[in-house]
Amino acid sequence: MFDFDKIDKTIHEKGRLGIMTLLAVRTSWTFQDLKTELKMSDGNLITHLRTLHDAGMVAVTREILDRPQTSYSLTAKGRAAFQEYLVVLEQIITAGKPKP
Amino acid sequence: MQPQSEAEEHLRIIRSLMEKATIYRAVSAPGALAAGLTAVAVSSTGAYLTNPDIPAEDEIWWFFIPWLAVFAVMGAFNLWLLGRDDAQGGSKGGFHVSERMRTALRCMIPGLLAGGFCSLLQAEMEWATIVSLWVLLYGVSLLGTGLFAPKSIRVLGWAFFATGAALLVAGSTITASVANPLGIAHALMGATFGSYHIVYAICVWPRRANV
Repeated sequence: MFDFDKIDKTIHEKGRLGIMTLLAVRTSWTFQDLKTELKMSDGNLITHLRTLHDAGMVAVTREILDRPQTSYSLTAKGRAAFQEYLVVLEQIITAGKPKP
Repeated sequence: MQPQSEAEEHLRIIRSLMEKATIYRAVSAPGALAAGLTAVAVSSTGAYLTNPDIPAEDEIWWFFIPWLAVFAVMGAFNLWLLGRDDAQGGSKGGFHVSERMRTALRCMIPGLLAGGFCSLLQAEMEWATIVSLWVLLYGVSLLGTGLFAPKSIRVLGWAFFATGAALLVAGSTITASVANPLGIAHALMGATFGSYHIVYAICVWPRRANV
């Protein structure tokens, strides 16, 4: 029987899963790019990013170029957690399949 | 929801987001349609109005300047469409230059600049040869985005590349066999930049939202 407590509850939410997926694809994403890609409201995105940041999964970089810009990237902990999460998803799917 | 189907659903979300995040269409369908129709209109007008009696020093006004204007206006229009789409999927208006748009521009600009520099050789080349180089190098610039472009852009890039190469080979024959070389240069612009963009726009328009 599969132990469902193994699932990382921080990542296992569609909004945060989307953020983690995008951050896993590319090194750094600006707030606006994340918002465009995920089609989330500012408030929703900020809340999810704060949750991930508080969990130590996402690093925040603030730069002032021609205007202030905030970028987000995965921390080593976040990357490891995301990979582990994918493994757990695969295990759930495998465990649910009927054995031959 | 059953844990297994929930896990499958989450894997689907991850896969589709990863695919979507790595694909970028540098030529929008409406931008291509506008560019194609404009190119056909300018080409037809140019082919109709030009004649072999136009003095060589005036040819720049009958060919290069109008097409430079078309490139500038249509390029700016396409960029505006892409930037509008990047600003919250176009739902709130505004303009945003995304990292993917910057990357696409970095990939395309060398090919486009090379095409621009070829225009400087106008004194030593026929207009049809310059058109061949423009077509070839536009194909190169589109293919430059190939790593993250959808298949339709790569097909468009190869179509321009192959046509440009073929025109370069056949260029001198074409020019020697026609009475109005300026007219044939206009016609080539319409046949390539015009018709290819229109066909591309028609092909990708209905599927645009899914890519």
